[in-house]
Amino acid sequence: MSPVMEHLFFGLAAVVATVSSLLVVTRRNPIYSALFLIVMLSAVAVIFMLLDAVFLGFMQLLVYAGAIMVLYLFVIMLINPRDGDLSDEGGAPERAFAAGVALLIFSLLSFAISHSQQVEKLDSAGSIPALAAVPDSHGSVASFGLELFHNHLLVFELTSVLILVGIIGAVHLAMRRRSTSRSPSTVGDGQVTVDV
Amino acid sequence: MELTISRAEILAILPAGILFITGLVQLFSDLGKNGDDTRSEKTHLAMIGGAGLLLALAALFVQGTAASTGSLYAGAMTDDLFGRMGAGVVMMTALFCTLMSGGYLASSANNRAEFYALICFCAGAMALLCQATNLISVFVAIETLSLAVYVLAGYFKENRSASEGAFKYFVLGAFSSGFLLLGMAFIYGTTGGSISFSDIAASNGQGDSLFSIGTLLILIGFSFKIGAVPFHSWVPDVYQASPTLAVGWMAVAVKASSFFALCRFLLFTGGGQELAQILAAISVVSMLLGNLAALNQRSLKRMMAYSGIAHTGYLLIPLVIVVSGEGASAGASIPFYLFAYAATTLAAFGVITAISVGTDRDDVRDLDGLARNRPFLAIGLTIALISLAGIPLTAGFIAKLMILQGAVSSGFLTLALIAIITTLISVYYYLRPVVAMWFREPRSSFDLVPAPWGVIFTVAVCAIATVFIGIFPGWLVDLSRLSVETILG
Repeated sequence: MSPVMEHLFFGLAAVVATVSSLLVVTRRNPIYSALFLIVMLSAVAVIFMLLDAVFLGFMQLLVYAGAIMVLYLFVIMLINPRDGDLSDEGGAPERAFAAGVALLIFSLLSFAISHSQQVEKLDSAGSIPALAAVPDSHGSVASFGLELFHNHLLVFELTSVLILVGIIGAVHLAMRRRSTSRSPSTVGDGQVTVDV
Repeated sequence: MELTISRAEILAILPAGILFITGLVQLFSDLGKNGDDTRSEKTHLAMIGGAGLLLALAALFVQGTAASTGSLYAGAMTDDLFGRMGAGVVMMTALFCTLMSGGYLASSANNRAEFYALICFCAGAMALLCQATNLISVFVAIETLSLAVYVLAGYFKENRSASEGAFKYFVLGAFSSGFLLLGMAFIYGTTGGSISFSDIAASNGQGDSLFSIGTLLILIGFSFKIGAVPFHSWVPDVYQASPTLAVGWMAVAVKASSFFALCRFLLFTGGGQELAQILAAISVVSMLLGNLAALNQRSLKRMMAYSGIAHTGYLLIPLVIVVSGEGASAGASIPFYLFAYAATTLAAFGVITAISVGTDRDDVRDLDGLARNRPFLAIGLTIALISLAGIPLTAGFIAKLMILQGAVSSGFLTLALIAIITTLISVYYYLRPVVAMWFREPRSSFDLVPAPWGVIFTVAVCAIATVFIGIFPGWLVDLSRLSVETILG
């Protein structure tokens, strides 16, 4: 792909990702929010692929935009929130404060970006710099696996603990026990139901 | 390419690994036992936890003051004295919390293995956080421990206010993780793709404005975790709503491990004058707001929350000195302070746990005449409170002295002065419960249940440790100095 095309695609994916993530937080209907989240995640997958991280891009599509978002939609539909269930978030003062903080962070970041020598260095390379060559194996499953298990082994293993903690926590918080209201005759059955 | 794991790498993760296995054993040992015995003490869970934690501490002590192993797991972690001290604080805290849990949870009809196992998982993640030397391992360790703490905070899910507090903590915690991650991304970008602390320190991106913003964002992320003003708003509410034991765990272990990780990060990256000024401002505001807001709190847990914010302010003073480059040795007061703070705060929360068992009350007035009914608890809480106030012959005094010495010798007189003034203010609210305990008549309407044995043990050991460190501080001071000296080597 030529550099121009690549930048064009990147711009497109970036705009789609930004706009759809804005729509995620502004929609009142959670189903719409979830659908826009799928759009946003897909756009990010495109960016991954433009960076030659093909494996990561497809994982993003399959796992996030696919599996996890299906789960999201299921949960939203099971809870089935009505319009009245979602109240407004605070009044005008809260909104003004939030906007002020957001503006502050935005101006801080834009100031830092405009004064950064690193960004300047990138700018001096021209408006559409030539793309650095990457080896053929870059972003492949094999190189991804090697990177993961050689340089990030500890973190990879720690992530399994993270997920385990998440599962234990979710089961504990979501489990509804009969013990609180059961009659003496059912004592000891230890049955539990999971309340989604 | 072959995957090899060296002996040093195995030894380095041994303590944390033992804790993860202990947590799993606890979960499995409790399978099928949730019938009708949720009101029993379930001593087997505390026994397994205690054994696992002692084993992990032994694995830590075997390493002792051995020299740093350098970077392990491709720069993800290291095994040095500094990290071992952090892991030591966390594991001892976990040991005492586990010992206290049996009696505390039995009164709540919610005594299940999850609580014990989450403390073990959390302690393992914290031990790794203290030894983490790259941005990714720091982040994953923080996420693991945070997730466990969110669940612990909302452990009593029948309690509405506890669930609300836990949810608030969860949302703000997730928000702060966003800051942390954004900061890490900026640092990754400006240092040419380095994630390990030593690579970051060696890269030439340090002077870049985006690098400073990245460090600032990481600082904001950590400020949420350690409860520094202006990112403290969750602290009092969550402390008041959560189970007392989970609060004790949060107050000591989360703060200690975050400070160890932050101190290591800042020792490597420095940060420059602007960052030092921002940090100094956060420190001053934390000291002032924490101490002033604690003055008229009726709830002991809320008072401890504001007191925790104030202590975060004191602990930030050595970090200001480190960041400004005036002397990395000032960092030595951080391990010492956290050891002293852990012993003191655990003794205090032990007594608060004893009072709240079965009654779920924590009002200062509930302490009236405690010395007559429960002289032992009264002595323990008195020692803890005078140590928190920084009165001589206690660990808290030596800890504050070290921080003030460091600040004065590096020329941060204003910070030292504000620390002294706010410490004087704090004496009022720390001594108010003491007066209530010793000089007021017991309230007949309020009956204490006998304190569980684990709580009595914890209060005794921590109170004795507080006094012991206060009278013989030399060995711990030397250890702290040595740990900070070896961190960069």
